Amino acid sequence: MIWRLGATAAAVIPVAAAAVAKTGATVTTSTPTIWFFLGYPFEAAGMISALFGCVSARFWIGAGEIARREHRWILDAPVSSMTLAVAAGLVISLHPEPLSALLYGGGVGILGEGVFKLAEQRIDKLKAVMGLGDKPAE
Amino acid sequence: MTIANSSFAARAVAEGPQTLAPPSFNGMGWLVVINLAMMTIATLIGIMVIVKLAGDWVKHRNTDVWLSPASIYRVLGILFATGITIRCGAEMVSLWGWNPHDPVATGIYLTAKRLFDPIAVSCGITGLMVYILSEPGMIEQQRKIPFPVNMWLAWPMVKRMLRLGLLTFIAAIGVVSTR
Repeated sequence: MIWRLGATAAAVIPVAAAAVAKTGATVTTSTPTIWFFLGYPFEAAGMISALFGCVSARFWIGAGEIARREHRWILDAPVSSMTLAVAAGLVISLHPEPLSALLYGGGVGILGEGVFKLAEQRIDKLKAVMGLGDKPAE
Repeated sequence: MTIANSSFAARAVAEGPQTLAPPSFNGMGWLVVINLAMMTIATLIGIMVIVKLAGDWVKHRNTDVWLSPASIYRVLGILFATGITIRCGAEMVSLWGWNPHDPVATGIYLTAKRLFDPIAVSCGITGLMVYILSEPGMIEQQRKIPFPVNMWLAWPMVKRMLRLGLLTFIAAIGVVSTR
Protein backbone atom coordinates (compact mmCIF):
# COMPACT_ATOMS: atom_id res chain seq x y z
CA MET A 1 0.00 0.00 0.00
CA ILE A 2 2.55 2.52 1.15
CA TRP A 3 4.94 1.44 -1.61
CA ARG A 4 2.30 2.02 -4.23
CA LEU A 5 1.74 5.51 -2.81
CA GLY A 6 5.48 6.21 -2.87
CA ALA A 7 5.84 4.94 -6.45
CA THR A 8 2.99 7.17 -7.61
CA ALA A 9 4.54 10.17 -5.88
CA ALA A 10 7.92 9.44 -7.50
CA ALA A 11 6.28 9.19 -10.93
CA VAL A 12 4.44 12.47 -10.40
CA ILE A 13 7.53 14.56 -9.57
CA PRO A 14 9.17 14.74 -13.07
CA VAL A 15 5.81 15.44 -14.70
CA ALA A 16 5.22 18.16 -12.14
CA ALA A 17 8.64 19.72 -12.73
CA ALA A 18 7.98 19.83 -16.48
CA ALA A 19 4.50 21.29 -16.02
CA VAL A 20 5.54 23.97 -13.53
CA ALA A 21 8.68 25.06 -15.40
CA LYS A 22 6.65 26.23 -18.40
CA THR A 23 4.75 29.01 -16.62
CA GLY A 24 6.15 32.50 -16.22
CA ALA A 25 6.76 34.11 -12.86
CA THR A 26 4.75 37.31 -13.15
CA VAL A 27 1.21 38.21 -14.08
CA THR A 28 2.32 39.77 -17.37
CA THR A 29 4.40 36.81 -18.58
CA SER A 30 1.84 34.15 -17.79
CA THR A 31 -1.74 33.70 -18.94
CA PRO A 32 -4.19 31.44 -17.10
CA THR A 33 -4.99 28.24 -18.95
CA ILE A 34 -8.58 28.23 -20.20
CA TRP A 35 -10.42 24.93 -20.65
CA PHE A 36 -13.77 24.39 -22.34
CA PHE A 37 -16.75 22.25 -21.37
CA LEU A 38 -19.58 22.08 -23.94
CA GLY A 39 -18.34 25.38 -25.29
CA TYR A 40 -18.27 27.18 -21.95
CA PRO A 41 -14.86 28.58 -21.04
CA PHE A 42 -13.49 28.36 -17.50
CA GLU A 43 -10.13 28.78 -15.73
CA ALA A 44 -8.37 25.47 -15.25
CA ALA A 45 -6.83 26.55 -11.93
CA GLY A 46 -10.21 27.44 -10.43
CA MET A 47 -11.73 24.18 -11.65
CA ILE A 48 -8.90 22.06 -10.24
CA SER A 49 -9.04 23.76 -6.85
CA ALA A 50 -12.86 23.53 -6.65
CA LEU A 51 -12.87 19.82 -7.54
CA PHE A 52 -10.03 19.19 -5.10
CA GLY A 53 -11.89 21.04 -2.33
CA CYS A 54 -15.04 19.05 -3.05
CA VAL A 55 -13.32 15.65 -3.22
CA SER A 56 -11.28 16.26 -0.08
CA ALA A 57 -14.34 17.49 1.84
CA ARG A 58 -16.33 14.42 0.73
CA PHE A 59 -13.31 12.22 1.44
CA TRP A 60 -12.26 13.25 4.91
CA ILE A 61 -15.59 13.90 6.59
CA GLY A 62 -16.69 10.59 7.97
CA ALA A 63 -15.36 8.55 5.06
CA GLY A 64 -14.62 5.73 7.47
CA GLU A 65 -18.15 5.61 8.85
CA ILE A 66 -20.01 2.32 8.54
CA ALA A 67 -23.07 4.05 7.04
CA ARG A 68 -20.92 5.45 4.23
CA ARG A 69 -19.43 2.04 3.44
CA GLU A 70 -22.80 0.31 3.64
CA HIS A 71 -24.45 2.69 1.15
CA ARG A 72 -21.36 3.28 -0.99
CA TRP A 73 -22.90 2.67 -4.42
CA ILE A 74 -26.57 3.44 -3.81
CA LEU A 75 -26.00 6.76 -1.96
CA ASP A 76 -22.40 7.84 -1.56
CA ALA A 77 -21.42 7.69 -5.22
CA PRO A 78 -24.49 9.60 -6.52
CA VAL A 79 -24.23 12.27 -3.80
CA SER A 80 -20.50 12.70 -4.44
CA SER A 81 -20.92 13.01 -8.20
CA MET A 82 -23.77 15.47 -7.62
CA THR A 83 -21.61 17.69 -5.40
CA LEU A 84 -18.78 17.50 -7.95
CA ALA A 85 -21.15 18.57 -10.70
CA VAL A 86 -22.46 21.49 -8.61
CA ALA A 87 -18.90 22.62 -7.84
CA ALA A 88 -17.97 22.43 -11.52
CA GLY A 89 -21.09 24.39 -12.43
CA LEU A 90 -20.25 27.10 -9.89
CA VAL A 91 -16.75 27.48 -11.34
CA ILE A 92 -18.04 27.66 -14.91
CA SER A 93 -20.67 30.30 -14.09
CA LEU A 94 -18.79 32.43 -11.52
CA HIS A 95 -15.14 32.31 -12.74
CA PRO A 96 -13.72 32.43 -9.17
CA GLU A 97 -10.10 32.87 -8.12
CA PRO A 98 -8.42 29.66 -6.87
CA LEU A 99 -9.06 30.48 -3.17
CA SER A 100 -12.77 31.20 -3.64
CA ALA A 101 -13.03 28.14 -5.89
CA LEU A 102 -11.48 26.04 -3.11
CA LEU A 103 -14.03 27.39 -0.62
CA TYR A 104 -16.95 26.82 -3.02
CA GLY A 105 -15.81 23.25 -3.61
CA GLY A 106 -15.30 22.55 0.08
CA GLY A 107 -18.66 24.11 0.97
CA VAL A 108 -20.54 22.08 -1.62
CA GLY A 109 -18.74 18.93 -0.47
CA ILE A 110 -19.78 19.57 3.14
CA LEU A 111 -23.37 20.23 2.02
CA GLY A 112 -23.21 16.83 0.34
CA GLU A 113 -22.71 15.28 3.76
CA GLY A 114 -26.04 16.77 4.88
CA VAL A 115 -27.75 15.44 1.75
CA PHE A 116 -26.22 12.03 2.45
CA LYS A 117 -27.53 12.03 6.04
CA LEU A 118 -31.07 13.01 4.90
CA ALA A 119 -31.11 10.37 2.17
CA GLU A 120 -29.84 7.72 4.57
CA GLN A 121 -32.67 8.48 7.03
CA ARG A 122 -35.18 8.22 4.17
CA ILE A 123 -33.85 4.84 3.12
CA ASP A 124 -33.89 3.53 6.68
CA LYS A 125 -37.49 4.71 7.07
CA LEU A 126 -38.49 3.16 3.76
CA LYS A 127 -36.91 -0.13 4.76
CA ALA A 128 -38.77 -0.08 8.08
CA VAL A 129 -42.10 0.64 6.35
CA MET A 130 -41.60 -2.21 3.91
CA GLY A 131 -40.50 -4.56 6.66
CA LEU A 132 -37.04 -5.05 5.17
CA GLY A 133 -35.02 -3.16 7.77
CA ASP A 134 -32.95 -5.17 10.18
CA LYS A 135 -33.22 -2.33 12.67
CA PRO A 136 -36.21 -0.07 13.34
CA ALA A 137 -35.86 3.60 12.39
CA GLU A 138 -36.00 6.14 15.18
CA MET B 1 -7.04 54.94 -6.99
CA THR B 2 -8.25 53.96 -3.56
CA ILE B 3 -5.09 51.98 -2.97
CA ALA B 4 -3.37 54.97 -1.34
CA ASN B 5 -5.87 54.76 1.54
CA SER B 6 -5.52 51.04 2.17
CA SER B 7 -3.13 49.16 4.44
CA PHE B 8 0.66 49.06 4.08
CA ALA B 9 0.42 45.37 3.16
CA ALA B 10 -2.03 46.08 0.35
CA ARG B 11 0.16 48.93 -0.93
CA ALA B 12 3.24 46.70 -0.86
CA VAL B 13 1.41 44.07 -2.93
CA ALA B 14 0.11 46.67 -5.37
CA GLU B 15 3.44 48.44 -5.84
CA GLY B 16 5.71 45.39 -5.76
CA PRO B 17 6.47 43.06 -8.67
CA GLN B 18 3.23 41.53 -9.98
CA THR B 19 4.30 37.94 -9.34
CA LEU B 20 1.93 34.98 -9.59
CA ALA B 21 3.04 33.69 -6.20
CA PRO B 22 4.43 35.73 -3.28
CA PRO B 23 7.72 37.39 -4.37
CA SER B 24 9.64 35.56 -1.64
CA PHE B 25 9.40 32.42 -3.82
CA ASN B 26 11.68 34.21 -6.28
CA GLY B 27 9.87 32.72 -9.28
CA MET B 28 10.53 29.08 -8.37
CA GLY B 29 7.34 27.26 -9.31
CA TRP B 30 8.34 23.93 -7.77
CA LEU B 31 8.81 25.61 -4.40
CA VAL B 32 5.32 27.11 -4.67
CA VAL B 33 3.91 23.64 -5.38
CA ILE B 34 5.67 22.12 -2.37
CA ASN B 35 4.60 24.93 -0.03
CA LEU B 36 1.01 25.00 -1.30
CA ALA B 37 0.65 21.23 -1.00
CA MET B 38 2.32 20.99 2.44
CA MET B 39 0.31 23.82 3.99
CA THR B 40 -2.94 22.39 2.61
CA ILE B 41 -2.15 18.84 3.74
CA ALA B 42 -1.18 20.06 7.21
CA THR B 43 -4.42 22.04 7.56
CA LEU B 44 -6.62 19.16 6.39
CA ILE B 45 -4.85 16.58 8.56
CA GLY B 46 -4.92 18.98 11.52
CA ILE B 47 -8.69 19.48 11.20
CA MET B 48 -9.14 15.71 10.85
CA VAL B 49 -7.18 15.07 14.05
CA ILE B 50 -8.98 17.81 16.01
CA VAL B 51 -12.39 16.49 14.94
CA LYS B 52 -11.45 12.92 15.84
CA LEU B 53 -9.93 13.77 19.23
CA ALA B 54 -12.73 16.14 20.22
CA GLY B 55 -15.26 13.47 19.24
CA ASP B 56 -13.39 10.87 21.30
CA TRP B 57 -13.30 13.28 24.24
CA VAL B 58 -17.09 13.74 24.15
CA LYS B 59 -17.67 10.02 23.62
CA HIS B 60 -15.46 8.89 26.53
CA ARG B 61 -16.06 11.83 28.87
CA ASN B 62 -17.32 9.51 31.64
CA THR B 63 -14.41 7.01 31.56
CA ASP B 64 -11.52 9.42 30.92
CA VAL B 65 -11.79 11.72 33.91
CA TRP B 66 -9.87 15.01 34.11
CA LEU B 67 -6.09 14.47 34.60
CA SER B 68 -6.24 10.78 33.73
CA PRO B 69 -3.36 9.78 31.38
CA ALA B 70 -5.83 9.26 28.54
CA SER B 71 -7.26 12.76 28.78
CA ILE B 72 -3.83 14.38 29.14
CA TYR B 73 -2.65 12.49 26.04
CA ARG B 74 -5.73 13.68 24.18
CA VAL B 75 -5.30 17.31 25.28
CA LEU B 76 -1.69 17.19 24.05
CA GLY B 77 -2.86 15.92 20.65
CA ILE B 78 -5.54 18.60 20.43
CA LEU B 79 -3.10 21.40 21.37
CA PHE B 80 -0.49 20.36 18.79
CA ALA B 81 -3.13 19.78 16.10
CA THR B 82 -4.72 23.19 16.79
CA GLY B 83 -1.34 24.92 16.55
CA ILE B 84 -0.50 23.24 13.24
CA THR B 85 -3.98 23.86 11.83
CA ILE B 86 -4.05 27.59 12.67
CA ARG B 87 -0.51 28.25 11.52
CA CYS B 88 -0.72 26.28 8.27
CA GLY B 89 -4.32 27.34 7.62
CA ALA B 90 -3.39 31.04 7.69
CA GLU B 91 -0.40 30.37 5.46
CA MET B 92 -2.57 28.28 3.13
CA VAL B 93 -5.11 31.09 2.74
CA SER B 94 -2.41 33.64 1.98
CA LEU B 95 -0.77 31.30 -0.59
CA TRP B 96 -3.98 30.25 -2.33
CA GLY B 97 -5.37 33.77 -2.17
CA TRP B 98 -2.27 35.62 -3.42
CA ASN B 99 -3.50 37.82 -6.25
CA PRO B 100 -1.73 41.03 -7.40
CA HIS B 101 -4.93 42.05 -9.21
CA ASP B 102 -6.68 42.25 -5.82
CA PRO B 103 -4.09 43.79 -3.48
CA VAL B 104 -6.60 44.74 -0.76
CA ALA B 105 -7.72 41.14 -0.17
CA THR B 106 -4.14 39.88 -0.43
CA GLY B 107 -3.05 42.47 2.13
CA ILE B 108 -5.81 41.32 4.50
CA TYR B 109 -4.62 37.69 4.19
CA LEU B 110 -1.04 38.72 4.90
CA THR B 111 -2.01 40.73 7.99
CA ALA B 112 -4.35 37.98 9.20
CA LYS B 113 -1.46 35.51 9.05
CA ARG B 114 0.58 37.78 11.33
CA LEU B 115 -2.37 37.94 13.76
CA PHE B 116 -2.97 34.18 13.80
CA ASP B 117 0.68 33.07 14.03
CA PRO B 118 1.17 34.01 17.73
CA ILE B 119 -2.06 32.19 18.64
CA ALA B 120 -0.83 29.07 16.85
CA VAL B 121 2.59 29.26 18.45
CA SER B 122 1.05 29.71 21.90
CA CYS B 123 -0.94 26.51 21.31
CA GLY B 124 2.31 24.71 20.46
CA ILE B 125 4.16 26.13 23.48
CA THR B 126 1.26 25.25 25.80
CA GLY B 127 1.41 21.73 24.39
CA LEU B 128 5.14 21.48 25.12
CA MET B 129 4.61 22.79 28.67
CA VAL B 130 1.77 20.33 29.33
CA TYR B 131 4.02 17.56 28.00
CA ILE B 132 6.91 18.47 30.33
CA LEU B 133 4.56 19.05 33.25
CA SER B 134 2.88 15.66 32.88
CA GLU B 135 6.00 13.74 31.87
CA PRO B 136 7.16 12.39 35.28
CA GLY B 137 3.69 11.11 36.13
CA MET B 138 3.06 9.77 32.64
CA ILE B 139 6.38 7.91 32.51
CA GLU B 140 5.53 6.34 35.87
CA GLN B 141 2.25 5.12 34.39
CA GLN B 142 3.83 3.92 31.15
CA ARG B 143 6.50 1.79 32.86
CA LYS B 144 3.87 -0.80 33.70
CA ILE B 145 3.91 -4.16 31.94
CA PRO B 146 2.95 -4.98 29.16
CA PHE B 147 5.27 -2.64 27.29
CA PRO B 148 4.65 -2.99 23.53
CA VAL B 149 1.87 -0.83 22.16
CA ASN B 150 -0.03 -1.92 19.08
CA MET B 151 0.92 0.94 16.74
CA TRP B 152 -1.28 -0.05 13.81
CA LEU B 153 -4.78 0.18 15.30
CA ALA B 154 -5.45 3.55 13.68
CA TRP B 155 -3.73 2.67 10.37
CA PRO B 156 -6.91 3.20 8.28
CA MET B 157 -7.02 6.84 9.39
CA VAL B 158 -3.32 7.38 8.61
CA LYS B 159 -3.89 5.74 5.22
CA ARG B 160 -6.67 8.25 4.57
CA MET B 161 -4.27 11.08 5.50
CA LEU B 162 -1.66 9.77 3.05
CA ARG B 163 -4.19 9.45 0.22
CA LEU B 164 -5.42 12.97 0.94
CA GLY B 165 -1.80 14.15 0.83
CA LEU B 166 -1.24 12.64 -2.62
CA LEU B 167 -4.47 14.21 -3.87
CA THR B 168 -3.41 17.60 -2.49
CA PHE B 169 -0.05 17.34 -4.22
CA ILE B 170 -1.67 16.62 -7.58
CA ALA B 171 -4.12 19.52 -7.10
CA ALA B 172 -1.30 21.91 -6.17
CA ILE B 173 0.66 20.95 -9.30
CA GLY B 174 -2.46 21.44 -11.39
CA VAL B 175 -3.27 24.84 -9.94
CA VAL B 176 0.27 26.21 -10.11
CA SER B 177 0.89 25.00 -13.65
CA THR B 178 -2.38 26.30 -15.12
CA ARG B 179 -2.86 29.72 -13.58
